[in-house]
Amino acid sequence: MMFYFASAALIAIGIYMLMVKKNLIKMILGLSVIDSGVNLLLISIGYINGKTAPIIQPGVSPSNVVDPLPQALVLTNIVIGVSVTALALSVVIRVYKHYKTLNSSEVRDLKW
Amino acid sequence: MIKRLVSIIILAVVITSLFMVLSETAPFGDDETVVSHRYIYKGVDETGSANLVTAVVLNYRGFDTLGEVTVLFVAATGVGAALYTRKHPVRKNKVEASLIVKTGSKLLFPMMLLFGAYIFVHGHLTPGGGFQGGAVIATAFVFKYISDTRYSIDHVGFTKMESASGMIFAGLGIMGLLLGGYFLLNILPNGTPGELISAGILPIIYIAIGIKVGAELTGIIDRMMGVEA
Amino acid sequence: MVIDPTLMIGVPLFIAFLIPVSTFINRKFPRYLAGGTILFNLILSMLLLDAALKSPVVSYLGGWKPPFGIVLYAGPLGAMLALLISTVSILTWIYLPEYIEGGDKEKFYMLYLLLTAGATGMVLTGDLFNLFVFTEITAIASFSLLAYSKGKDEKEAMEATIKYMIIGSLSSAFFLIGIALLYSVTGTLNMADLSSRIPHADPRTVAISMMFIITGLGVEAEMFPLNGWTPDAYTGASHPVSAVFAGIVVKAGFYALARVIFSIYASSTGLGIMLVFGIITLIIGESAALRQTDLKRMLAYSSIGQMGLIITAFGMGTQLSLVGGLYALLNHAFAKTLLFMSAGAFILSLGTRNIGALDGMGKKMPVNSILFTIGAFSIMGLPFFGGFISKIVIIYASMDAGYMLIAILILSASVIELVYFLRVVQRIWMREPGDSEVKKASNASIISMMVLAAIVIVMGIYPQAFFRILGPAAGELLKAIGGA
Repeated sequence: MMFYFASAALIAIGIYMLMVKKNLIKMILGLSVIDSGVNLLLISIGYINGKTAPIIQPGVSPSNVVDPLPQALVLTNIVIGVSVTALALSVVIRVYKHYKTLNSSEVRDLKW
Repeated sequence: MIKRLVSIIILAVVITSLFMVLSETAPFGDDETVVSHRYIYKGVDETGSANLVTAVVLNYRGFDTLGEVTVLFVAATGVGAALYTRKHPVRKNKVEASLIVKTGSKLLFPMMLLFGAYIFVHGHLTPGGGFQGGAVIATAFVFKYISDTRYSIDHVGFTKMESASGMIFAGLGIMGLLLGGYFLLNILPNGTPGELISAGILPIIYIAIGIKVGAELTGIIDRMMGVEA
Repeated sequence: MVIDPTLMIGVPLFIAFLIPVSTFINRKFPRYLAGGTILFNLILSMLLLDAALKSPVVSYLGGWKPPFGIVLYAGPLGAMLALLISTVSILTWIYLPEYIEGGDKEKFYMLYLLLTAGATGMVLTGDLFNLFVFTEITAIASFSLLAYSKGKDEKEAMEATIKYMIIGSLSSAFFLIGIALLYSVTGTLNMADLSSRIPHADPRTVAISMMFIITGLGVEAEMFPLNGWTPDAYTGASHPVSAVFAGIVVKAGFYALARVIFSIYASSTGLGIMLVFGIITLIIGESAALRQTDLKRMLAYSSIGQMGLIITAFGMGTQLSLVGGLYALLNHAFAKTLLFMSAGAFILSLGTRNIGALDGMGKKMPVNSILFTIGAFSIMGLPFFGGFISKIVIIYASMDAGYMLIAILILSASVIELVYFLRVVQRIWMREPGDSEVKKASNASIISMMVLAAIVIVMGIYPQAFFRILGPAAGELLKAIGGA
């Protein structure tokens, strides 16, 4: 239960950062925060009360492990998040080279 | 200021109400779903992997993982294209690291490589896998970059490794199609679950992914180190 | 032999991984490896379409039956779009060598190939999360191609990239939230399985997840109000990349949106949303295009308007309107690619994107001007071009379904379209040319543009050939929603 609200809070904080912050790097951080929120949401959807990690070994039977599918999805989403962040940061480097600023309201040759 | 406050309130209201609905309809800590039931109860027999997440990631939904590897590959290529310079990038930071960092990195570098390799080789048995192991390996190279201002990776060798491991993954998929009629079919025997050599092609894929991810993340860092802002 | 759709994704990925090594042997390899793979995809997609018209081609990945594994599903519609993607891709490949400057050429070709593979995956997959993964591949490849541009437009391109990236990443997060909500109430990710389980699931969560997914996919489909990135991205990108955006990325994104609404949710609310936002997109796009003085920006807004037309046609949800919408989709893909290519040739030789500089180009670059005019006529919907058929069918369908107002709005949008395109065409042919020297476009690019122009004209004078494919394709979408 707590985890649903925590993930909701993380997503909300991320969107807030995107809306209010002017610094491009902070906006990218906001994207990462949203990503973490979504990951937490997926994980908590897969959680089953009182059960353990889905690795079958002596002492862990299939009847007491959690849902492995959302965890697999999270693994994929983490990698996608890393990729987007890396690319976005390198684009920001290029933006900075041209505009000498990271303020998104000053980076406006084109109209929004 | 008021604009900020309003946006906070709207966001908070919308998102909490969404998740109120969610916690009613899909109560937290509820039982597993039909699809996962099969993964949990039959996964070990069907894939030979003791780690069920690995079974799902690499076997049941292996195609997603091929896509995921591709996403990282696209991003690494994109970083390379965005930060392209005519010559090979020359590193700019000239501040020497302290003696502690230098000695420590020499000591830790081989161990970090070994630990990364351990994580991806045991991906089908213990928590972790190719992506995690690759990230650890890339961290080892970051350490190298921090401690030595002249250090630079062997670009040609890294490119070759990266390509070869990517081709192994895609090639295994095509091989499954040719031999068994299904893309990414597990063409090797499952073996005994819980042993190092088991789970068919899963360990091979994870080793390939580990090398690929390690090389790609290191390449991204190398690119970013080389640019002048 | 049964054609396996997986090959259209697996082989390009394999080749893309091979490209970086191949440069050590010869610098020219990347271009030909990429081209050869796209040609392979083209041939395969033709065979696939042929097979899919008889019965859908299904491929189980890893040998797992759905819903446990991922499945690729190529019905008539998916196969048709796969063919569209490989056709546009190969033609743009022929066109592009002069138009990309500097940088690592091999990286450009890798990204280009991966973009094609990702878009093909988007139209063929039968699994919701797999759709997300391929959407991401396509999106990140588009970001990178946009970031690739060098030279004069670099500054604008960078700004457009960062804007596109932030909007695009946010939308993909929304898409994933939608998927997570849907999984929480149905417990499956397979599209066919989802559509059978959704009626029994809690309607509130389903409705919320639909809002999230529409928001997530609407960005790629240029749906209002999520299309803020479009004009900048088209303007900042190099010309072949703009052509690929219009011909491939947006079409694949729109297909994903339509597929989710029709096949998974089968919801009339979803159709209503498409109808309303489609009309708004159409009107805003066309009226914004009217004000532009920048050639590529004008084409970008026109592209938004056309997407609005297509979304509206799909939103009506009848067999006839879907056929019209698909016809408009094909026409727009080919004609807008042609327009971006020929506009690229003008801009390359003039050195400016200003429409005012096009005076008298009909005398200086006659072939290119004729090609541009054909593309413009087809988008406007003049008789004997593909656009005419699509607009007639859509207007007829909307009157048939009782949406008189929509028919009138589409007609008036067409008038606006007529005005701004004729303004450019009139400048090209009627004005006296200036005395500046121009550089002729290369033969290869002229050939690829001619092929596109030929397709557009065939679509206008022999539509029966296309209806034969579009009928079953529209039927496939309607089957799930239970319409006529």
